[in-house]
Amino acid sequence: MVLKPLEVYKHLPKKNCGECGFQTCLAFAMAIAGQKTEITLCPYLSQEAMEILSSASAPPIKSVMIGSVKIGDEKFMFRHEKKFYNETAFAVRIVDSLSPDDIEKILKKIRDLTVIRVGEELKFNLVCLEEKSGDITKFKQAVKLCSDFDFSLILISENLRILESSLSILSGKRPAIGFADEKNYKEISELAKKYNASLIVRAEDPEKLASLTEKIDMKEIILSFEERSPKQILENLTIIRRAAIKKKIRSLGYPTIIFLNNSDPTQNTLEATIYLAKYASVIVFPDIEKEDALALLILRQNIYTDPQKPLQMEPKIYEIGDPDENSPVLLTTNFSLTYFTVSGDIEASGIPCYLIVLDTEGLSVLTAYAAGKLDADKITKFLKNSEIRDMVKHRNIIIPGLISKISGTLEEKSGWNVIVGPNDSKDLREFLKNLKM
Amino acid sequence: MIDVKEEFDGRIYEVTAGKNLRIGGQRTLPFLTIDDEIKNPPRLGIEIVADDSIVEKTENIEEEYKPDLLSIAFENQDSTEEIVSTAYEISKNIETPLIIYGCEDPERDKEILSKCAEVLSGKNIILGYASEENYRTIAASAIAYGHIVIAQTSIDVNLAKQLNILLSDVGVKKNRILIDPLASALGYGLEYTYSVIERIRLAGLSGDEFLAQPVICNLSVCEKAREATSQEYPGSIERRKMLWEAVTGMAFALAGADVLVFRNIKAFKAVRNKINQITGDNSGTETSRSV
Repeated sequence: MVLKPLEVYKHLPKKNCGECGFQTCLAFAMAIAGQKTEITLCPYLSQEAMEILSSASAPPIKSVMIGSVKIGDEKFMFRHEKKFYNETAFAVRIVDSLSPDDIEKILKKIRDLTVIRVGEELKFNLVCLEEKSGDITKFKQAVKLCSDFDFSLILISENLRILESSLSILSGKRPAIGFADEKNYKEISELAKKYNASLIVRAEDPEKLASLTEKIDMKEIILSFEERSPKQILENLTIIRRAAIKKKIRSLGYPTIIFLNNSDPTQNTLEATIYLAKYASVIVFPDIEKEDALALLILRQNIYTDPQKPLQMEPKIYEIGDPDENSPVLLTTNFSLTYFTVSGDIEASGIPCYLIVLDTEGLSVLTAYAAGKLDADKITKFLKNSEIRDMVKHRNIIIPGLISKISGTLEEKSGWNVIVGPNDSKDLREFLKNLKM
Repeated sequence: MIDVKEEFDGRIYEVTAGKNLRIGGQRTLPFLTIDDEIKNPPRLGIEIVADDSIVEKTENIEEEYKPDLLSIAFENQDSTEEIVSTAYEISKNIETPLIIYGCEDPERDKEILSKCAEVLSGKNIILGYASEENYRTIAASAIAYGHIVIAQTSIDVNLAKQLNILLSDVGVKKNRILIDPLASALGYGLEYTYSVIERIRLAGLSGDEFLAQPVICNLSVCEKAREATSQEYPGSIERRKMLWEAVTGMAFALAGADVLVFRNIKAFKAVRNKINQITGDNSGTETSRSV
């Protein structure tokens, strides 16, 4: 829950002592309300006030680490309300009864799913290692192998002795372990605490999960359901998110993990699409094809993009192909999608070019033009101070067809010869091939 | 009992296409029976690009895949006479409700869609689409010949609402409109469309009668995504093309889309399978389990 400054203020001692680092209690209250500082910095709070304020300012869904991967800490039901904070983590399940060679093959395959897109590295970041062998040595060997590949780990076993022997070699790596249920929660949560692991708690439905987490004295908890249909999983994930965010039910304020198990990869991918959009913190795949991984990694990047901050490219001159002093010079905006479309289409033409990417604060061509962030003055200013003047002999600049209106003014102001390009980037290929400068 | 049920004041209009295909009508967020029953599941259509064998193709697809809707997309070079007579020929032999798209030129579409509306009078088809530039003509034909209008605007809640108000002003009933918020493909702006659909749906459910129309998404835009069609990405292009439509469509269904129009038949089948599974029709689908 987000408290207003005055609601915080009425619980403060109003001494204005400044010991918290803020000059007045009101300034401190404002910083607390804006989630910029910690309530514990006030040394004079009553026990009661401390409890009220810390529970009100705590995130509705706790943040949990699995290795180096942060999950949870979400505050909203819909991304347009502000944003989603921590991307759904993708894991691939590996069974320890496979041979070390086969395990290594899978690990390599998962590592190779990584793609770079819009300057971000998108990857499957977790391995879920499941014990089926009943063999301490075999499980430990598999754990070591995964750990050598630098994957953060989820360890699943019904045998606590096997779990403990692996936890002992993963010191400082913070794996998640599972599952805790009604029968074993005391022992397994002791184990998790002793080795600083996160604990996956499993029950039939949200209510039983809530009553189980209330009995476990840990913060690093991840929620999981027993066998369920996709319809029930979607509803349960929604119930948990609503309970945590709208009803402040603390016993459900934890991240969630879903295990997929269809034999048809397409059905797994579609189910992952559902849970990615609707509130799963971790999705575990039985296996994943490279095409499916590509689609889901991009979907995750899309859904978790901050709606207020479209992905932006660094404004500068990009070389496409191997351009020389006679190569065409094109201009576009720094909205990542615009850049990717335009640069891709230039590349497809096979003609080396310089592409000037102007800082339009992440707006696309037409929006930037409408907002006055892409006009003759701005382009002229860039051209005057830019090294492009030394990079090419000619003075021809190709502008997007959508801003053809400014071509006259731009020629006048910049002294460059303006060529109006196509409206749609996909026509650049033809355009560049027929271009005579 | 954990009570997180949400009560909505509004309900999405139920639009009936063809003889009896009911679209929309929800008073819940997508697939959530915790709030209310699912009135109608998302309706899935297959789109065919018109060519010489279009009439036969349409019949075959109707018979083999039984889509909820059949959508016909025409190319800009076809003459209006050809388009109109083709649309008529197709409609004679099929039972499935039709969506007739013009050729994405608002000016030409006035003529094409008006004439199609006339020859298909009484068939209760869906006319795609009316935009700010041509809505008067298309609305008039839809009213005169008893068809449904797709109102298309560019990924913006306010523009969508404004066009619906304009359509209402010229006499189109509120349950004779589908909102097309302009679908963008996975990796190419999917998140914008996704959030606009969610906002339209939430506004409709909270009682805004000009945003309470069912939402339609045409997934043909996915064919333009580089990751779906280029050799430079891993794996088979055929599979990536299928996944691009399937994942994009599934995401829009989660946001609130009531009609999804596919070009890729495998994507259509995969999404239909999954949607049947989550809306309770389990015939012929695989069940999913946790480990």
